[in-house]
Amino acid sequence: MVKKKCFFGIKTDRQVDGDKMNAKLSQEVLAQGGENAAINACMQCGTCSGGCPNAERMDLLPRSLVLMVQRGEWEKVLKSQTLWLCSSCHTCTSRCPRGVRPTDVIEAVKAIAIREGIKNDSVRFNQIFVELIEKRGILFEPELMLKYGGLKALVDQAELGIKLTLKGKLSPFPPKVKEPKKFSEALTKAVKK
Amino acid sequence: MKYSYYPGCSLHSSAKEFDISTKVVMKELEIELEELQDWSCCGGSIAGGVDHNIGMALAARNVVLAQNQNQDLLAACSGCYNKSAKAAQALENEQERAKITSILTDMGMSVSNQKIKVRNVVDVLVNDLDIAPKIKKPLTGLKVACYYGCLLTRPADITGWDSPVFPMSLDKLAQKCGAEVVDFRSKTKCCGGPILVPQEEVAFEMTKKLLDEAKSLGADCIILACPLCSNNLELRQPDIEKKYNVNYNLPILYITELIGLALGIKPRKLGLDKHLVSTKPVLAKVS
Amino acid sequence: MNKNIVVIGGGVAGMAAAGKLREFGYEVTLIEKEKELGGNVKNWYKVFPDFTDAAEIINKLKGELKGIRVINNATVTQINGVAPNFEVITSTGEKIDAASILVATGFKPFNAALKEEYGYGIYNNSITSIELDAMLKQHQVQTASGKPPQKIAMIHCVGSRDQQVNNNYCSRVCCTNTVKVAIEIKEQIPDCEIYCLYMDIRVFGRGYEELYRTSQEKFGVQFIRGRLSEAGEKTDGSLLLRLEDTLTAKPMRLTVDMLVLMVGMVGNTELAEIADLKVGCDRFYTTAHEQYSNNNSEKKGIFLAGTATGPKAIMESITDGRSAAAEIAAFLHSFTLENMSCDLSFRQPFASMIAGGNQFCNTPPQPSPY
Repeated sequence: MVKKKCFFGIKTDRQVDGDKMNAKLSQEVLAQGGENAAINACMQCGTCSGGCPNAERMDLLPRSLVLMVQRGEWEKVLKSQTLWLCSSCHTCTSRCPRGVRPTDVIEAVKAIAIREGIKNDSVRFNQIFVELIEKRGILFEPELMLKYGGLKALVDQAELGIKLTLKGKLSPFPPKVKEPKKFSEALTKAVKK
Repeated sequence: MKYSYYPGCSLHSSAKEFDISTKVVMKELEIELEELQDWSCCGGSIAGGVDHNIGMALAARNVVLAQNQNQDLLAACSGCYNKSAKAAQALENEQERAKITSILTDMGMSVSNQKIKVRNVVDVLVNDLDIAPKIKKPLTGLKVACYYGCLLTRPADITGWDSPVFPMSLDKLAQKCGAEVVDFRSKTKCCGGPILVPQEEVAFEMTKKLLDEAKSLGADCIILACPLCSNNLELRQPDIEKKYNVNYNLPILYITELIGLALGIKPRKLGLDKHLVSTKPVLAKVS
Repeated sequence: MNKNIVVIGGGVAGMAAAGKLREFGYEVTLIEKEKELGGNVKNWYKVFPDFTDAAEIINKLKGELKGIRVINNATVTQINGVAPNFEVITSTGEKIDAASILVATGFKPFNAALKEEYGYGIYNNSITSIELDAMLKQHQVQTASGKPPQKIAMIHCVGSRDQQVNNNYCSRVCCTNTVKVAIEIKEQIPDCEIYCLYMDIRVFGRGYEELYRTSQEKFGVQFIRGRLSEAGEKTDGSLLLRLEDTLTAKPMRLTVDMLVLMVGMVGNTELAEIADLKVGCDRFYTTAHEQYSNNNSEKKGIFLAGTATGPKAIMESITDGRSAAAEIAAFLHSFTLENMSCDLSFRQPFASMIAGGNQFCNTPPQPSPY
């Protein structure tokens, strides 16, 4: 949020401008995540935040995140660290008394954040992960580590890599689906839609 | 009973022993597994957060492959199981089905109306089979902490065969194997798996809590069914030990390895030698 | 014994009681101060939680009044005698004998003008839930300038839970009513945004919570947790609301085209002196016991029903009226017993419920007057 100063020097984000509330973001989330990302039923009870294993690290608690989505606070939501601290453990989703699925809501918001150009390590990791799967259909972990962390990661993880290789768990040949080209093209096309 | 067996990415790499032990144990229990032809990654907890439709299509692809083979899909990995079950549910939803079908059609696949079930190895082991009569070598004296993590039993409207809060399936299986089960309160607390790489510090802290509790309960090992959890708990155990200056040396075993031992199968045949945290203390206790 | 029973108040509780007493075989006189039966409910449109037409409820209850004498445009000015030989004198000068009296005089809507900071009676677009209901009935929800509103704020707890207006109680029905009218507005003006400003959501009855959820899930009604502090009028007639958005712990300003004040219920105690009835600190009639004698007043032979004894939903008022009918029937039955004596052990629950002990046995046995 832009910290504009108003007449009396009060920063605007210190108060809620109710007139800016709109349903655009929640509609966007619904379009991205489907019915499972519906949040209208939320009654702000906070069961989700209460059970969240990472709540104490979040700038927006899951409950607040849902509220901000409802009110159309794009910037607050998309810039929130909450998106990247969610470990998709589904504790909130399995407890919500109104059937809201914060895990699915956050998943949809993450996708919107990535599309809107939010950049951070988590985004980069997730994007590389998906790119690699799109490429061959099956994940090849050394490639993921190299692409994400560069040579440094390979060096840092060298010991683990060697151990895994010795145990016969790391093949030098990346596995792939039968028709990677077709597989890849179909997914790329879907993203472009 | 014959299943389309879906190993997923991890079981062919870092969780090879889960793959090996699942196949051996299921054979011993007369369950036929036919590896799902041309399976692909389920997208895990990550793909959907980049694009919902990509995530759904990735997971649904394996379900559709199994549908086309007219066999129930059996996944060992909790993540693969959860995402496949979610995709199977999505295929029942008109809106989602249309989006998935469009992508899979582009891959040259046909989406049928064949109804199949998506099952997890633990579900089958505990609910369909009775392993008790087949136990040849009870694991008397072995203390285990059963860890379920998130995706095996949550959310219940996707899984549904055990409690999302206090599940007992693994505990029951371990007990049937003759092991002593400790009262592991954190059995469904998240290990931080999906955020391990970009949020390493946070994930380490989450995993540490689990190791701490298991250790304080005097468990000889942790039993689980998720390669991602194992990645945190076992492969990164030395890193956590180093970071917090603690010493766990706690073996992490897949449930199928534990059952295999109780069925009298040789440890090497179950892949117990493939662990990075040595399983020797466990073997010493049960032999 | 005179078998006539006087029911004062022809709202839903009074009608329900009168109908049931008639069914039991009593003679009933129903006194209504207005020219039509139906009390507050007769003015309303649809009622929660199932959107039954208010007129349907009135018609149903009216249909049960066959053989009952209804006196309209009359109030009670005097009550003489004791049970079971009361004499009720009306404003029309009529004297009616009564074995028992039921007071079902209902409530008055809270006067929203008392909450000056909400601008009722000052700002054209600050209206009450009663006025909104009338608009909904006409399918003409519009602002003072005749346009359909695009943004409406509904204020819960107006005149309830508020020491400033001397009403500390919860009016119980306003939350569910808010949810109901919000849905109705959405049905009539789908693109109108509705914000409900609440402290707590108290939707307690069967089907009420479900209605609340439906308003959110299906109609997108938004709930903002915070009590309106003040409304100000802008030059275009819209209203600027100031409140705390307590969910984010920040002050909030919100502009709306229309402000709907969900007014609570205020006790109607016009008969307190005439019928010698006690009034609680909430200004509703006091019952003989809050738990197990909610239809008895402390005065023998005078019974209470409906919102005269505190805020109730329509369904509760009807049930309460019928419950009072049963109490009256049991009370009158005791006078028909051959040997009226102190031995009322078979009716112990009734006897012991009277505050101050068993009033039948406080006096020496009297020969039965019948």
